[in-house]
Amino acid sequence: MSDQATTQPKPQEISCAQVRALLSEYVDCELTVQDRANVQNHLALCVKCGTESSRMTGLKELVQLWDGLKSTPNFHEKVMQQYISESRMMDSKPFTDAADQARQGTQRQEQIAEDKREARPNSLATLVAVALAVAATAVLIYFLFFSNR
Amino acid sequence: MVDGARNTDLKALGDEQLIAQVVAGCDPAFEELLFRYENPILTFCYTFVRNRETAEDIAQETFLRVYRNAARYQPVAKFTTWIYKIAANLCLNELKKGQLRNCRSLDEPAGRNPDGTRIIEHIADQKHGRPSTEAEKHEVQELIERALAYLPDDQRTTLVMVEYHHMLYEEIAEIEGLTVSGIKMRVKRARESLREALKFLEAENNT
Repeated sequence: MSDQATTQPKPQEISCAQVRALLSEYVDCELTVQDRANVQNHLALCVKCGTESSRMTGLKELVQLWDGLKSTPNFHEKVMQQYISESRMMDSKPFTDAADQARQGTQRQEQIAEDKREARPNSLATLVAVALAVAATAVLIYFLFFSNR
Repeated sequence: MVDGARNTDLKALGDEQLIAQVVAGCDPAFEELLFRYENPILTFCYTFVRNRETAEDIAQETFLRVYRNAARYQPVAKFTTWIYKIAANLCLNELKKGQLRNCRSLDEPAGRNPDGTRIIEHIADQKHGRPSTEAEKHEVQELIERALAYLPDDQRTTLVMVEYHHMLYEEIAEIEGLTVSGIKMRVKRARESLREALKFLEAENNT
């Protein structure tokens, strides 16, 4: 009990405006322990803010009363049928397949890298061939136009 | 198990354990997740799109994505945060696609300066043990839905996450991709808008 008393924050005085700004978080229990103590302390003394706090709680309770949408058996059935058809399509081992797909992806990437490695000498050969062709053309031009002089 | 019967052993498992079972290929585990979340996810989607049929389509896709991505689910995040995030993204895509605007206008005058208190008190009376008929319950549900319909989309969805889904600001911030202080502001504004909506409805009832 004494431990609890020592951990309780000492409430500080705050203005009505400060309380109003904190009321929404107060009703949602989202305030820090210190802020909560300050608000509670103020509400115990201020009738106007007390009324405002009750209204805020009323608003909260109002939305909480909403039942929302209820699922129909038809919806449940539809989702399950779709799930069954998808899971069966994956050969009843959907996640092994997913792992296989990942492995296949890795293999594909490795294959691309391999292709690139293989492609490199080909491009070098092309480069050498082009260089030789240019050199041959230059030699030919030299002999045609300059060899007679 | 597509016969609708609920497996009692699976009912005792946590969401994270169920998702692990789904990964292992256990159909009843998927159905247990469906039993648990079909109403909340349907309601969540409806809050965004305001159309039952569209909400059902998105909710269905949400569950199927849960299945398809189950192996990638990281238990560091709460299952609820994960599934609601999937649903929220699908809803936002749908809204972008259709350029839907889903809130009503409060531009009309509120009439004899009501403050919405009477509606809140009326509903509070029904909540605190007063005998209420099915018709009265229906009336309350309709009133709440009508009031929520006046809220801007972002405020409505955030407020419903707090009140109906009982989410913490931090969780909502993660789902919506905002900061906690952004969510605080949005909830506060949503309550102000809701009060305005109730004023409007009260004035409408008085005329």
